Amino acid sequence: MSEAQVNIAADRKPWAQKTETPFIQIKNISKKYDGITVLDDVSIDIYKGEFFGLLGGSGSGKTTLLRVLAGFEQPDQGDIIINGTSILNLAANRRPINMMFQSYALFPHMNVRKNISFGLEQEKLSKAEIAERVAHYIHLVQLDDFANRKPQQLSGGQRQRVALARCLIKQPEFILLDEPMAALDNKLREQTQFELVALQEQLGLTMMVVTHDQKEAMALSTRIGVMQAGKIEQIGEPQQIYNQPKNHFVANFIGAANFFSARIKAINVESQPIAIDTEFGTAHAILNRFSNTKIGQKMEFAIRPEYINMHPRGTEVKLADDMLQAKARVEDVAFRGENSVYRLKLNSGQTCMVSSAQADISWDQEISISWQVKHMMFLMD
Amino acid sequence: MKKPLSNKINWFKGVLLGVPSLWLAVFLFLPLMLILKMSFAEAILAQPPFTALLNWGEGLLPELNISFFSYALLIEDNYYIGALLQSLTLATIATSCTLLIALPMVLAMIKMPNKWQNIFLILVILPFWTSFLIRVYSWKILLRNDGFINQILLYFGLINDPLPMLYSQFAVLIGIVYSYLPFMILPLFAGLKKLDYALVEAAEDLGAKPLTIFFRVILPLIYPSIIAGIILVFIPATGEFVIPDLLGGSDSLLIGKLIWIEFFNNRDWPTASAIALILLILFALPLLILNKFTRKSQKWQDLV
Amino acid sequence: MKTYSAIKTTLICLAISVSANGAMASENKLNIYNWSDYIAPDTIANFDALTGIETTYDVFDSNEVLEGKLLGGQTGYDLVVPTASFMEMQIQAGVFMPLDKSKLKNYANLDPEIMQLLAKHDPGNKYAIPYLWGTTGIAYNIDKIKQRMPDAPLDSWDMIFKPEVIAKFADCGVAIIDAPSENFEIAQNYLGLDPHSGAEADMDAAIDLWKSIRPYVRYFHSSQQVDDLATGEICLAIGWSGDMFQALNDAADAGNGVKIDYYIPKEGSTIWFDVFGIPNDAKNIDAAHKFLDYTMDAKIAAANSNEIWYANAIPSSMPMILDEIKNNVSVYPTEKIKANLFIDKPGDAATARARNKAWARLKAGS
Repeated sequence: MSEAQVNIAADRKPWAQKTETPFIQIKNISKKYDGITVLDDVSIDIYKGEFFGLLGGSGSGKTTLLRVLAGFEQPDQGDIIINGTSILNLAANRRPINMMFQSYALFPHMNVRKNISFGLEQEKLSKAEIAERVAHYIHLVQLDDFANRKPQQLSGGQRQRVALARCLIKQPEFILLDEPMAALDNKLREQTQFELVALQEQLGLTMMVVTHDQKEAMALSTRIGVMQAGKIEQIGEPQQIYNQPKNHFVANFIGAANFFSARIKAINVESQPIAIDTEFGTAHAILNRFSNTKIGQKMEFAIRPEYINMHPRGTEVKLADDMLQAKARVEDVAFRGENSVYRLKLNSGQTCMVSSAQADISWDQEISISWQVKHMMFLMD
Repeated sequence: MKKPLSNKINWFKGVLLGVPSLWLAVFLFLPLMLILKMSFAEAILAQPPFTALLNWGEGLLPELNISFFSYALLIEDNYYIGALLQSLTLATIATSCTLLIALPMVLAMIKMPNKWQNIFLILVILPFWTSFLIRVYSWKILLRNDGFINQILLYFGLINDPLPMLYSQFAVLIGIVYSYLPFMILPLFAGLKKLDYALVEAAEDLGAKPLTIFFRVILPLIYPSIIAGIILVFIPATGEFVIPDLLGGSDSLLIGKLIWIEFFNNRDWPTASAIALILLILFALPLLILNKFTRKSQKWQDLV
Repeated sequence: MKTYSAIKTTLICLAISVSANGAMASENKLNIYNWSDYIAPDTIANFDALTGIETTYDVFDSNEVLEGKLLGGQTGYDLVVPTASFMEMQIQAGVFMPLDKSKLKNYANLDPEIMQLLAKHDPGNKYAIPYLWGTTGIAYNIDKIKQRMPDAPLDSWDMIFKPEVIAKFADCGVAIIDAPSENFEIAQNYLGLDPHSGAEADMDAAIDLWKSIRPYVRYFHSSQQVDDLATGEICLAIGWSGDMFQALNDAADAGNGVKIDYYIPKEGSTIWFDVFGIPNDAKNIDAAHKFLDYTMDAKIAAANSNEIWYANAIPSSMPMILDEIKNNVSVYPTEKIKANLFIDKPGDAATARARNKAWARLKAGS
C-alpha cells in the first residue's frame, strides 16, 4: 500500500458528505444486564479509514459496546454491519475485527514472535508466509531485537506495540482499542498517541478507541462519540464537541466550563438571532439547532475558561456590542506552567474559572471579566 | 542493656522458621525414619515383632543388624511388582477420569457469575462435611443389584436384569473418582481463577477455536494446577485401601491391600514398611525432579 | 470370633500409634478390651457392684486392631479378648502372662473337651480362658437357593466346592470369607487331607480346588456378607457363625422377605474360640483374675450366651440357656458334627506367608 493511495479520512471528512456510505454501521444496539440498561439504542456510523473515539466515564457503557462489537457479548437488540454485511451472528473468532485489550492480554508463556504469529496460525497459511508477515510486523513496531523475549521482560511501551502488532497482522477490517494508553506513563502516552495516528493513517486502518481520557480522545480521533448511561450523547469532530457541545453533560465532560443560567427574551423572525437574557446582559445568538425555542424558555450557557478575558479594575476597555462583562474578585491562582488557572468569585456570588497567561493579576484582586458572545455555548437539556 | 532490634527480629525469624521445622521433624521425619529403620529389620514373633537395629553385645560398640530380607522379598517374584503395576494402572485411569470430569466442570464454573461460583464451590466442598466412609458406603447402596441405579435402568427398560456393578473394578473407579474429584477441582479452579480471562478472549479474538484456546492458552498457563491436582489424586489413589475394600471385587490385587496383608496377616512389619517406603520413593523422586526442572526453567526464563 | 469391620480397619494404624491408653493402674481398677456388643449389658455393672472394682470397658472390631496394639506393647489393658488362633502367635511373641489358676475357683466349670481343643492353641492351657466359641460354615438365602436348585446339598461343602453346584448360584452372588488359613484348612479337610498340613502338595491341592470354583465367586471379604446376605445382594456365603446369625436377624428385622439360614457342613469345619488373656504388662492382675472367675460362673456365662447367641464353655450353664439357643444345632452342634470340627491353626511364618500369597493370587485370578 503506497501512501499516495491511502485515503485519509481525517482530511476528507466523509461523514460530512451526504453521498458516502458508512463502512461500519452500529444500528440501534440495546443491552440489559439483570434488568439494568447498559446500552440504550446506540447507533454510530463509522467510515473507512476513520479513527473513532468513544469517550465516557466508568459505567457509561463504552466497554460493553466494545465487547458487543468484538463478539464477546450479544446485544438484546440492534445490528452491526460491516461493509454491507451483518456480523451479529458471527462468533468472536470469525469476525473481521480485532481488539487490543486494556492490559494488552499478551500470552505470558509465548515470546513476542509467538504472540504476534498466534493470530495468523489460526488461518490456513503456509509457514513461510506466516514467518514473512510476522517478521514484517515485528519490524513495523520496531521490536526486531526483542522477538524472543517474553512479555514480562518488556517495558510497558514495548508490550503495547506487541499487542498492536498482534492485531494488525490479522489485517482486520476494524480494530478496537480498549484504553490503549492506560498502562503507560504521561510522557510516553503523548509520543505513542502520535505514533498510533501516524500508523493508522499510513496503513489506512479503521479504528475505534475506547477511553475515559478526553485529551486522548481528542488527540487520536477523527470523530468522538460521548457516551453516558448507555446512550450516545453527541457525535462529532473533536473541535465540534469542544466548541458546540449539545448539552450540559458533554460541555462539562469535555474540557472545563463555567455554567450560567439564561432565558430567551425575544425571538425576532426577521433577523435570525434570538435575544437571550443573562444576568450579565442580553446576548444575541443563532440557535438553529434547537427546534422548540420560545419566549421565556429557560436555558443555560457555558463558557470555557480560556475564552474569558480579565482586566484589573480601572483598565476596563469599552465593550464591543458582541461582548458581555462582569465584576469579580480573584480567590485563588494555580500556576500551570504555560498558563495559570484563576478561581474567581463573581459579585453575583457564583464561582468562575479562568485560564490565562496574564501576569498582572493575583490573589484578592478586584477585577472585571469579559467574553465574546460567540464563545457562549447555549445549552438546553 | 537493651537488646538491639535486629537481634529481636532474628529471634522472631527463628521462631517463625523453627515451629514448622519442628513440626516436620516430629510428624514427618521421625516416623519416616522409624519406617526406614523397621524396613531393614527382620520379622520375628516378639514384642515388637521385628529385630532391633542395634545389638548391644559384649563389645564396646553395638553390633549393627541390617537385613535386606524385606527388600529381597519384594523382587523375588512378580507378586509385589504386579500389585504395584495394578495399583498404578488403576490410579492412572482414575486420575485421568477425574481430570476429564473436573476440567469441563471448572471451565463451566469459571464462566459463571461469582455468586454461582461460590455456590458450586460449596457444593464441591460440602461432601467433606460427612465422613469419607459414609460417602463410599452410600455408593454401595447406589450400585447394589436392588440399588437406585439398577432400579432406574430397570424402570426405563434399558436392562432386563440388574447389572452387577458392585464389587467390580468399575465400582472402585467410581469410588475413587467420586472421592478425589474435589482434590482435582479445587486446584484447577484456583489456577483458572488466577488466569486472566482476557487471555482467553484475546485468543478467541485472534481467531482461535475453543480447542485451540484450551490447548495453546489455557493448558500451558494452568498446568501447575493440573499437576497439583494430578498429584493430589494419583498418590492417594495408588495406595487406596478402603475404597477397593468396600466397593471392589476380588479380581485385583492392589498395593494397599498388600501392605495390609504384610502387616496383619503375615505379621511382617518390616516388609510392610519396605513397601510403604518404596511407594514413597516412587512418588517423591519424580516430584523432586519436576521441582528441580521447573525451577531451572524458571531461572532460564529470567535470564533470557 | 467376629469379623473386623471394614470401617474400622482404616483406624487401625491410628489406633496402634496411640496405643498407650489412658487407663491407669490402681488397687481397685480394671481395664478390659473386648469385642463390641459382646457381653450382656449388666455383666460389668454387676461385677463392679459385687467386687467394688471400677472397670473401664473398651471395645474393638477386629483381631487385627487388637494384635497391632498388643505387638506394639503397653496397651494399658488388663484383659483382652483375641481369637485363639491369633492368640497362639501372640503367646509365642510373649505378649501374655501365665494365669494364676489358684485365683480361679470356677476354673473347674470349664468344658474339658473345649479346653483340650484350646490346648492346641495354648499348650498346657497356661494363658487363655475361653469366653465364647463358634464355627465357620455356610449361610444362604433360602428362597434363591431352592429356586435355583431344589435338591441343593444343604448340609455339605459340596455347595461351594462342586463346580456344577456353585455354578448355579453364581448369578445370585457367592461370597467367601477372606481368611487364608481357614480357607486352606477347609479345602484340605474337604479333600481328605490334614487340614493343618503345610506341605506344598497339600496346599497346591487346596488351591486347585479353590481355582476350580473361583469363577463363580463374586467376592472374598470377611464382613460384607452380613449386609449383603440380609439385603439379598448375595445368596450364598462362607462366614463365621456369629456374623451369619446377625445377617439372619437383620433380614428378619428388615422385613424385606429375605430368609437366611446357616449350617455347619457335615464334612467338618473350623471351630474358633474367643478367649481372655492378660497382657504381660497388665497392672491390675488380681482384678483381672477376679473378672475371669466371675465370667466362669454358670449364671453369668448363661446370661452372656442368652444375650448374644454364642455358645460358651461352661457346661453347667446349659440349664439356664434359652431353649432356642441350646437347641440350635448351628450354635451348639450335635456330637456327630462336633466330632468333625477342627481348629484354625495359622502355622509357622513361612507357611502363613505362603498361604497368604497363594490366596492373594487366587483372589486376583492370577
